[in-house]
Amino acid sequence: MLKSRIISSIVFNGRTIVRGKDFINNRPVGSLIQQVKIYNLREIDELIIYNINNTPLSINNLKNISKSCFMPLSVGGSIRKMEDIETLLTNGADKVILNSACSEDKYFLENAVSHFGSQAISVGIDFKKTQRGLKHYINNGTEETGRDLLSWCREVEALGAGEIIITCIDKDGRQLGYNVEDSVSLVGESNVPIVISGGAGELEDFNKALSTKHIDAVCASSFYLFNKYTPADVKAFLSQKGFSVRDSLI
Amino acid sequence: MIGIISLGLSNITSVRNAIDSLKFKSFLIDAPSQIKYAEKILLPGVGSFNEAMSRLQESGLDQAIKDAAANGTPIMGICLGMQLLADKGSEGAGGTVEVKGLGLIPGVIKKIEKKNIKLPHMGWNTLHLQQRDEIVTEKFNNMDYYFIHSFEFVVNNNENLLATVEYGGGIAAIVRRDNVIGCQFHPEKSQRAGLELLKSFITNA
Repeated sequence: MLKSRIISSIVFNGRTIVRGKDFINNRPVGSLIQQVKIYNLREIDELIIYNINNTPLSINNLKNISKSCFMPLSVGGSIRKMEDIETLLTNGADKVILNSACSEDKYFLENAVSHFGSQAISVGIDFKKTQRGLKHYINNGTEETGRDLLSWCREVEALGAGEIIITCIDKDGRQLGYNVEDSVSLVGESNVPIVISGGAGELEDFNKALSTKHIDAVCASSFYLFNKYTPADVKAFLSQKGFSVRDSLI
Repeated sequence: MIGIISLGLSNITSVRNAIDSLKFKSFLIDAPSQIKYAEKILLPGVGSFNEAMSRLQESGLDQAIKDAAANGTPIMGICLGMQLLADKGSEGAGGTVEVKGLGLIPGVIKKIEKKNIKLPHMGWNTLHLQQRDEIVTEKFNNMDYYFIHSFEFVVNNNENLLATVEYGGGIAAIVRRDNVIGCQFHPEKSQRAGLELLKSFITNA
């Protein structure tokens, strides 16, 4: 049977890995290649790399990463052209994550899916919980779109996205738990795989998200970076809770 | 030398890296004349059946692969590459348009239609061996592999079905006829389990 996916994400600024809170105040926390090697060794199920210096991840970096990355790799950040996608997919990425560019131009998403196939195109949807309700943000959390979030989630699926990565911005980097309830209210009815991201801090957070049955994969960054637990700890815990997970070494 | 068929569509880099890490030599094949240098052939692929088949036909690689198969060269199809081994695939809304495949393993490619499952079938799933042979030995039973696909290989004869996974019912994971083998999952992205299988193909096929 299909296993719950345990994913780790890395935010890269073109020089070093960074971590912040709410998508801001990013501080350097390590080297990219080294971290990818660690995750490969620790047998995380899948890896996401976000490049946040206003260009897509460079070919050089990607080629270097893919030499030590024998698990699925998704790459996001500033992917705005069909050529960007082709370059990433032919140099080591298995999936690309579209976000701002497809919010600004949904035909970009449609084209990408028809050319590269749903299996290669994931869509990131970032939101904030405000007093005015849940709001959709793009461009690394800096710009509110005014879109209706629920209909955007449905539209993304209808346009053929192979996966949706849903992130609550105000939870990101805080390690106080995912925003499970609001995330599920947005993508709970979806028929494509859902990844929840932003906020994991305790083992129980993964259980809470996966218990809803609407979430297929749990993504965390700080949680693993700051070495509180390894993927193997998470898997042992989830397995005890009755979830089917793939074994990891350490 | 391991020849890797390059369709210009797929993640060839990952397949090459996997072969490198196993300390075997590989080269890319993008023209029929190069195929004779390959002792073993890998046919990776992602995306659309139709697009991949037309690229193979345009370059003449389709006939070259069939000739190599007939000559006994071991061939392994990966993901879409596995599906291309079938007699035919289907494309378009509702799978109405039929597209001819390489016809190396009898069967057809159909959209996965099962109740209460999400598509694509994405993630790690457990292999259930239906048969054992010199490549797919008992140790691969119950190993986890990374899948990402929405279409499945439906074999005509169960004798060609080596392994399945459970996803709303059984789905073909490894198919084989003689020297031609195909896996629906990505061994190059399945860490130890995947590298082991690639190694077994390279050394035992």
